[in-house]
Amino acid sequence: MIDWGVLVRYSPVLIDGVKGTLYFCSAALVIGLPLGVALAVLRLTRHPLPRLLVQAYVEVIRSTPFLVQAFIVYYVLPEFGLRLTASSAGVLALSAYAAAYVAEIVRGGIEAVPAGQVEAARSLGMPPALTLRRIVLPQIWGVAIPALTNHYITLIKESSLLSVITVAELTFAGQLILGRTFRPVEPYLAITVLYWLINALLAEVSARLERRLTAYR
Amino acid sequence: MDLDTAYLARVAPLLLRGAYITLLISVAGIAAGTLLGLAVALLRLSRHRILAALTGVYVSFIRGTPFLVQAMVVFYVIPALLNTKVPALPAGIAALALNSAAFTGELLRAGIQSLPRGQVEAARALGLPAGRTLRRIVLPQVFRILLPALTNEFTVLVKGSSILSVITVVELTRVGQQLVNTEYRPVETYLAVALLYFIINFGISRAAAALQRRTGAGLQGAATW
Repeated sequence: MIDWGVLVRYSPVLIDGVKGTLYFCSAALVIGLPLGVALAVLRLTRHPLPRLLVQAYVEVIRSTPFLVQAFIVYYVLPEFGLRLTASSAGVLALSAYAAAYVAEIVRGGIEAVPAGQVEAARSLGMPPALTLRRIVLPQIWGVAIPALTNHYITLIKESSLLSVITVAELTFAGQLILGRTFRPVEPYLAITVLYWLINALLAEVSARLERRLTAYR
Repeated sequence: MDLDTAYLARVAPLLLRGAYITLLISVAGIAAGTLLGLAVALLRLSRHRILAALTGVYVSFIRGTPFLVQAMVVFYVIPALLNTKVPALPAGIAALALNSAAFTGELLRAGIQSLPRGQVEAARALGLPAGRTLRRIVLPQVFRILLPALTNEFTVLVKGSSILSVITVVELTRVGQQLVNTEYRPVETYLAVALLYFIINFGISRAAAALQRRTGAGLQGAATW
């Protein structure tokens, strides 16, 4: 009943799908990371306006479905003159989503650095920006990197929704094979296993990284 | 560009009905998911090595694959293998429940393991049967500890239910898509859809915070959480 030959024939499509998924998620993390760090720093400033704006942004991203965010980027932004290809819309939506979560992770990391260190740096005459760059940020990665790899796994799963706005990633590859062969079972089983493999691998990397980064404890 | 408020007023009943369906399937999903999750937690903690291992594989499978793909497996693959068809709504609720069972199962397992062993041993020593120990001693405490995590899971489920639009469940996102297809007003429609999700999830987290203040009052001693 299950025709594995379908998967052999369409394996290049599946491999391209995996590449697409990894590419979009990596792009989103590379863009979302500095953006998220900036948001986290803004959120911890004493000025109420940037703090409130960042808080609102994070809250909106976290309480609405990613699918709806993708629709807004792909269908609403063109009405305001920003017409994007499916791929760039996908990267933008995924990066905007990642930035909000990265901001929360980085904020947690910054708050985990003992206040005494910041006070010591300040009393030695170090300006705030330098304190942040030299004292605080280098220390947050032990806390933040495991959380960030976990978020990367979440991104891989959420990126499947980009198939709905026709971005060529793994789920889209599955739908492509379904469209050509009219067989739902084989392609969907294949992409399920592929996602599972990618994420199991990432979870293992995350666990190792965490052990290494917290070895000093 | 201006927002067309007359359009929004006209389609508001449709969108609100979509929001109602979203809330309904999410509640059904979390209710069935929590019950299944309890089974997952108990199986993972059971002495049967094989059952515990199989449940572990289930949890890893659900956590490692996108919900969109799980929904498609429930809606397309399983019925195709069984040579039948399933309507979208029950398939969607089943997908939500199967997904949330893995996540709440892990939460419940952690919650059960966080209770001091002495309590269960004391209950058993007093002659309380295992089932009643679970129902009367363990679960009431676990649910109180897990309330924040479970409401968090509920908001995740509300967002996840939007994915069921892809398997043609007519919930909030699907209503939005249908309106965009017939009325050509993506700006108003999708912003309204996003706002409704925001309101639902904001309401849930506010209600959860209030509930937590009330039920958490007697929880001062439990410093582990």
